[in-house]
Amino acid sequence: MKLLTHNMLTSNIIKGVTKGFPLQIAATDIKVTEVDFNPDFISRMISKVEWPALCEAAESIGHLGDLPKELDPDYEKNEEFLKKAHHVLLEVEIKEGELICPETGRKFPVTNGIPNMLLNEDEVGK
Amino acid sequence: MSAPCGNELKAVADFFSIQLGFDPKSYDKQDPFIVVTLENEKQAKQITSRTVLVRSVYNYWAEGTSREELYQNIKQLKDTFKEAYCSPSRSFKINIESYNLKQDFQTIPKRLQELAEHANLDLQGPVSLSSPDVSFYFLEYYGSQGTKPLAKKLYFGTWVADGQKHLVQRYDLKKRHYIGNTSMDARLSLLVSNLALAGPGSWVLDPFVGTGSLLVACAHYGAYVTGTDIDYKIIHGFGKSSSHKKKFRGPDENFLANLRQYGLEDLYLDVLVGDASKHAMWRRSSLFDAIVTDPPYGIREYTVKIDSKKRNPENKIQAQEDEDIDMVEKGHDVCEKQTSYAGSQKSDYQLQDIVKDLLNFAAKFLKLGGHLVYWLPVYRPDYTEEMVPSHPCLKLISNCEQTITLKMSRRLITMQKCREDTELLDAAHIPEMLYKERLRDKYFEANPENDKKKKKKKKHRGAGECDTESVNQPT
Repeated sequence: MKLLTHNMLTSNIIKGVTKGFPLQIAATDIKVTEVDFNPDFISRMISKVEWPALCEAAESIGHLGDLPKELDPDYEKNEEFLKKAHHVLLEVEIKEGELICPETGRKFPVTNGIPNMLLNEDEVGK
Repeated sequence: MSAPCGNELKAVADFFSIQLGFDPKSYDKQDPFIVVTLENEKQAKQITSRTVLVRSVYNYWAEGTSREELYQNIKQLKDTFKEAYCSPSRSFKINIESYNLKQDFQTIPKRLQELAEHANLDLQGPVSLSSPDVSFYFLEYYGSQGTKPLAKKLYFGTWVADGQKHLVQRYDLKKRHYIGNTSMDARLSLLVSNLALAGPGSWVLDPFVGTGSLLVACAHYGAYVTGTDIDYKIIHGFGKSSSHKKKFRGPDENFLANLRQYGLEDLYLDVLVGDASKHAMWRRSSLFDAIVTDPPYGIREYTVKIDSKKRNPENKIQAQEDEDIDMVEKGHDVCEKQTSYAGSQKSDYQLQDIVKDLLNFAAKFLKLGGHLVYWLPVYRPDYTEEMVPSHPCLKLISNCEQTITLKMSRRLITMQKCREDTELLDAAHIPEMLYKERLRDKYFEANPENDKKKKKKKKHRGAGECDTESVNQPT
């Protein structure tokens, strides 16, 4: 699972959870793969991403690198910045581990890079 | 020019912001040719760089309902226009593209002579069959009913560009690394991607991703792709294989491997095991540029979601799932914890609720102007246009049919998000008449043969939705 996807997921599906974001990451295997850089796409994604949560997630798995914790207001024109964001958003992947609900501690396993967001019937909220 | 073809043409023109000049009154729906106005050849090439149903584009010279009329009209064209094509320095060839009447090669020299005699079109350049500078085409339509001696409509023009028909071979499911029972045929997947306006840098989601056949086509056009599916086994490649002569799915059978097969893995933006009815899994609205999906109809794939209801031992789906899990455990080394998530607590998810959730989901998670393209299975004798589900935030763009059997078909519905309104997030309307009886029951009632066969087999997941013998390609 890429950190871009992680930034869009919540555990709000669990009964009683109100925000469910960001999910904590407990990773046992992390893989970095090179991915083609598309500056337009990254710019657009940055506008959708919650930046502090992205930095926090990257830091928690030791892959923040030199990504600035403050979002450059002119990021669209700053290719250097976009490349760093690209690396964190698309190239760092959680292969094995768990995503943890910040409110209930419920764990969602990540196997072979694929998170399992299914719940048991007694956990399902609205 | 069938309905899906026209819809594809419009969608692709829309994708490139091309104004397509076209007179809806002037054409016969059966006629495979259509006259449209474009600004230049570049636009024609842009269109054919994406279309799988539009086969070729020609520069229009003239038309007629008889050959004499056609030649007269060619004659009247300005010399300045013709000279550029007919100069002695330009090599050429002549082709006949005839629809519903066979033409043999000997007619070509005859036509060449007629062009000179009756249309004053003297082609002076050398003939080159392999790499001509200009390819002249006679396009002839002889009506849809068998061979009539007189053509209904004749066109003359020069070839500009061919569409992407060859992609159908490249993405053929027979050569696909990993397929499932309901993997979508390559041509239809490419059509869906065009209707969804999937393009470089767009983000497309399939909430019932399966083996990801729709998303492979979207990635071909450069879109980043994300999928979710409630079926743990299909996402991870466990359980029974749908491939010929193969018992179980292998460890590398997953959607990512399918993308890798075509060099598209850079566009992989994850698949998740997740329940499409739980929208709160996604943090924010206006996320995706397009949503494409072929939801399960309850015929060849189960329709399930997770419910807070108590587990019911009488539930047939549950029993089937449990059986599947047993089989998985025997056949594969699967971690116990994982299968318990995959196998328990699923409840029946009615088709009307699936569609309702899908429309509500699209109204919230599509960007404004983004497209939802999905397959809606219908019982043909009951179907009317009023039955198509609606949502106040989604505008119906197109609706075309693929017949599956005499009584069943599925409609390819394209909608565009035209309004952002948080008050209307649950406003999808599914006409009651659409599925007043379960489609599954209707299907088996309509195909008693089918039912018998299936019962005998005691199938696990049934045969493919795209059974080759039952599919009519809507071209």
